[in-house]
Amino acid sequence: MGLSDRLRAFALARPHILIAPLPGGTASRLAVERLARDRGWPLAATPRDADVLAVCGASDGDLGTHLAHLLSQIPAPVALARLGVEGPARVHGGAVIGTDAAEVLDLAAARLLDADLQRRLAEAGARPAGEQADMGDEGMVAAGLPTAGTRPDRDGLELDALTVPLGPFLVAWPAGLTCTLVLQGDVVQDVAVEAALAPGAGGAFWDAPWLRSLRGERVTVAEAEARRAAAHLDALARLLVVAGFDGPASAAGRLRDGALDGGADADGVAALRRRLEGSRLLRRQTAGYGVIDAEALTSAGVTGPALRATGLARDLRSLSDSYPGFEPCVLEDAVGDVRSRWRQWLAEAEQALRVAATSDAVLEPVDGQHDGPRGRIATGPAAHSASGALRSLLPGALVGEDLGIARLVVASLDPDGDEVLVVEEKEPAGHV
Amino acid sequence: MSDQVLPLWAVPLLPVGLLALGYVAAVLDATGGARAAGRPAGEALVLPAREAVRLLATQRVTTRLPDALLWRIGSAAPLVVAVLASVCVPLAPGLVLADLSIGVVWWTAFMALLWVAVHICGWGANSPYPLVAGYRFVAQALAYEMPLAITIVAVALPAETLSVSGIAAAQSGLWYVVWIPAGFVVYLLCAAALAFWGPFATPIGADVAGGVLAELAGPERLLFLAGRYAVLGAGAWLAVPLFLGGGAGPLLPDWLWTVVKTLAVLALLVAVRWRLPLVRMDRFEELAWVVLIPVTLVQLFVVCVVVLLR
Repeated sequence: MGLSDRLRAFALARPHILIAPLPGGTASRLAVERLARDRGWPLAATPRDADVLAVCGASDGDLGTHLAHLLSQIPAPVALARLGVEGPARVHGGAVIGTDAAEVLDLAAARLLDADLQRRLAEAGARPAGEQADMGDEGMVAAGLPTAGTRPDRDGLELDALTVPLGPFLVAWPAGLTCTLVLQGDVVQDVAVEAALAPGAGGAFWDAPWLRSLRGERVTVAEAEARRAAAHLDALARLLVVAGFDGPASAAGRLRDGALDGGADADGVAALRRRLEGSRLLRRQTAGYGVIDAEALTSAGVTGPALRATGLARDLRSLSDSYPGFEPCVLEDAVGDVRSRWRQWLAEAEQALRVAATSDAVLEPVDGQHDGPRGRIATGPAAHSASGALRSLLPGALVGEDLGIARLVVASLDPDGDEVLVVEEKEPAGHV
Repeated sequence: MSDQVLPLWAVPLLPVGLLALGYVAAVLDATGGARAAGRPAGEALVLPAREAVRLLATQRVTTRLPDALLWRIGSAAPLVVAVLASVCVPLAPGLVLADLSIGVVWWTAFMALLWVAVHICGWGANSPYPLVAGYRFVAQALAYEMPLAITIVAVALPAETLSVSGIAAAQSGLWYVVWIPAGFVVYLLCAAALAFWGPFATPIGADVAGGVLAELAGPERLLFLAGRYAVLGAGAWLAVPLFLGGGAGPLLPDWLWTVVKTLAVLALLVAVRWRLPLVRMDRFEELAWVVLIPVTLVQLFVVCVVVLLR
């Protein structure tokens, strides 16, 4: 090995991974995050800092415009990995595809080290070297892009309005969601929400135990509650990354993986809960923002922890025989702001793990419905998506907030892209 | 100005030393990250070197229609500012590049250039996330600049000099950290805010996709990150002559004591990042103007009383 090969191997021993989750790709995303944490491979916050683009939940068809654009923003050396395609890790169409995260990412990392391959890819890729503004212009169009127009703001002044799409791929962002914001300065004036992305393989990961129970399979309460705790810890980890609290975000990720493995570490969750509830800075950063009252939530059809975070003790588990003596978790100071919702997640995760450790019952639905991690889960004519209801809250909750708070509010509602997808697939063909 | 003439070969030692201090800060930060993720901390020693080589070998990319001149100046400026500001900070009595009679004012003035540097680094990229982040830094700087200035006055007053070496020498009796404790705490907060570190890292926050770092790739990213660590190191270094008695201490030579104390302050600053979440600017402005400024003014009053009674 020459000096440059050695240096390249040294530099790329810990490649930065940019995770692009697709709806239906939760299992691969969790595997990649766990692998990155175990090996010390940093997760990139921006494509400019990435080496490997890990598309989670992919099919082996066309990449799609969003992903192709994302890939073009990553500077060389770059390797594309598409997880969720059946079969062993192999190279196909310029990407490494497969199911096992370790094999696929190892193969992708090896492609990073291949200097000739990277040179060919860099020459073949069209990267804008920089364009100059057209000096003869009136200023309305520059390099083919429209400049920001003006619109009146809340004080009646004419201010520049910039259209910024949040998503579909953004660090610590729910999969499959796109919020197109109109920003004046950094204050959100208008929001358009879409959940448009080509679905990948794999169904709803977080709702799987309850959906299997509704199909008639035998699912234990312990398994369902462990999955619920993992779902809440996953959402909490994303919110903590947005809140800039990296230490507890890692801890939440580790507890989530522990819950998914089957170990019910309720004491670990209790310790995390003590740490976060005791953090006065976190309290100041999240209290009082994104307040959505119980009336708005019930009229939108929201159930689950988001509703319980306003103080309403509504939980189907208290009516179920599989949960003897169950009390819905309602905290004091539950006012329906960002802080109430993340505290609700933590409290319910701890409660779920304690139930999982002691229960040996079988999961039974109540009137054909379950209370899942994000709300009611049902199939057939009564099916409605809990995450769809959460998504419908977004425009009202985001307008008037600044960009950072808007990110916190979305992270605290955390609509699940997989859930929306599965329900839409189940709609009979005649429905609109 | 001072009479001492340092040999010319001593001049490059300052940027090299500051980069080394920044490297140590990066190692400490990586150790914190490894411990948070439950991994062994041994790999943290080579991590900054690994990242540096990786960034140097990464392709340079740009956005459409950036303000290229301002953008590049902004990404290189933090490192330059840290080096220039630190010319007046001594390693030991007599071991200082330029013992300026206006030392602390020089340091504060150069660190004030960071306002412009981070803002234009965000503005020049022609991208919404860095733009928002650049303005966040200006808002943050508005909050910490006044408490910092009042603290500097409170430290210079009992020493009756603005020269950093003079302030270190005036602490031969009792270190300032003992009887100007509020000043020390405020100074540490301001040193972290200058480097947008820890709770003050909203300009590079994940909620704006990395903020000012969102569009920086390759060598420019390395320059900016190295500059940020150098600013943090420079802030830790100045704390030693201002509050911790300079190189004073038993047994070891002065320069070694300065190094030890600087590393201790640096470790404290780095640890704060893993213990605290971000402070949002709207809440921090309120805190700074309503709490920090009165606290520093009261501290200044106490210092004045002590000086008059001396």
